[in-house]
Amino acid sequence: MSNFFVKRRLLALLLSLILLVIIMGITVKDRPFPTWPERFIRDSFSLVQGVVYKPAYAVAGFFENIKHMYSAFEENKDLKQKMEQYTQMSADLQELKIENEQLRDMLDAKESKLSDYKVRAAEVIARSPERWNHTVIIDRGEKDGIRPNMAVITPKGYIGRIQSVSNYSSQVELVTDIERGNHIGAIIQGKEHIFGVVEGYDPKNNLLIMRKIPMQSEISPGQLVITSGLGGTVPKGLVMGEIVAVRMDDQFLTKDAYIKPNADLQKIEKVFVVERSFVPPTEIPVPNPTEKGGGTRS
Amino acid sequence: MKWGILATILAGVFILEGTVIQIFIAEVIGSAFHFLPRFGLVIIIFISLYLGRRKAFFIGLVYGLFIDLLYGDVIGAYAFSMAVIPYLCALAYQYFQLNVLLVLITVFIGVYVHEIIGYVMLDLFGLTGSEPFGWTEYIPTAILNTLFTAIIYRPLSIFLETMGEGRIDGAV
Repeated sequence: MSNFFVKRRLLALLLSLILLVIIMGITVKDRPFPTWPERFIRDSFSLVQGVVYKPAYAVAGFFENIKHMYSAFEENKDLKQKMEQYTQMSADLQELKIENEQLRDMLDAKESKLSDYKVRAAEVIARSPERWNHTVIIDRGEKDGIRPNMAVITPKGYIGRIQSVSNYSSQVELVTDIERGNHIGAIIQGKEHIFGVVEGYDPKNNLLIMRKIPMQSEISPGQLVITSGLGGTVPKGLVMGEIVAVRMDDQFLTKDAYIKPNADLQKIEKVFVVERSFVPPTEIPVPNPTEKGGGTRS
Repeated sequence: MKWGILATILAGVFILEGTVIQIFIAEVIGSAFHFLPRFGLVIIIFISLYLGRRKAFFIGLVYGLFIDLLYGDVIGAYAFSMAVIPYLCALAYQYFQLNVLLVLITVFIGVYVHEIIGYVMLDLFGLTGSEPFGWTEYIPTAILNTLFTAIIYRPLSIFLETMGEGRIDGAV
């Protein structure tokens, strides 16, 4: 057998190259549920990685704290000032909420189903050491109720979606890996909502790009971008980031908005996996005249 | 026994690449330059220089396969590059004496070429987006791994010399 391969080295080489390309071609598709050997390897590594990652993160956090100690005084002053405003704001918010509820009651309008969701906490146990896949591995899997395509957030905002699920671990595709057709419906908050799709990533400046925004829409740096909840498993209202620049696109027909992600994508420790209570049907339902004014309008 | 130690070292480095090192170089991940840990590749290059390129080829294949399984989208991309680079490194070495400087240069070039192969393999399947390959962005990666080589050169070369009878030049 080995004699055969020594004699026909070129043949063996070519055959293995072809085999390689075939395997790559088969596995290149998005596979939300991997095969059992893959699951086994991923799960067993996730055990060890979880043990290693947490203490390391604690040590890194300790050094970070020392660095922060120097700027603590200034920051404290700043925060106190903001805190005072916050009291006012939360009082206003409470008022508005009550008012909103009353008005809804008067109109007989239902709560929007789009922004309803449950969260599950998970911890990050590893991160891909490479450049082209921005993958993070978390320690919850299919047995914990995680399903493919669920949104993943940190308290600061949206960071990505579940790409594939093993029994006790799953892979999260970060929002920066967006070029692969991982498009997210988003809203620019302003006087009126501007709908668009976040579909690009600028790795040089670490910015997300929202393309094909109508020319006449008024957007300016500083506006917040949230998920729109239209289609897919991402609920409405998850914060994505803030616009930092607006530019014409190449054909001068639409605008591109550059968005700075709100969540810190470099340092991720704890995440929440979002399960949407209402998954929109894939078929478009026929509008029902009796449900006019239903809450799906934003 | 010795092979067991080597396998443990490789498994440990594999886990470190994804966890601890990611945390400590997190500051620079987002910047324009990339400091990617390829410490497993460095160790496999050592293996190919000291224990023969055939063995290194198969070890690299398995190591790359694990990277593909755990982090990658495509199975085979890193398995290919991790297997081919150490093999070629040893092939280039048939005519030289082993010394520190040459090993450092080999690792530098090997890691750099590894990144190029990785890009080409993923680009073949359209996984890199519209981004072109940044030629200067990977020099920091090569430098980082060369520094790692400088640190582990002494202990690892002593360990590997006890494993094989010196160096096997193309005798596999």
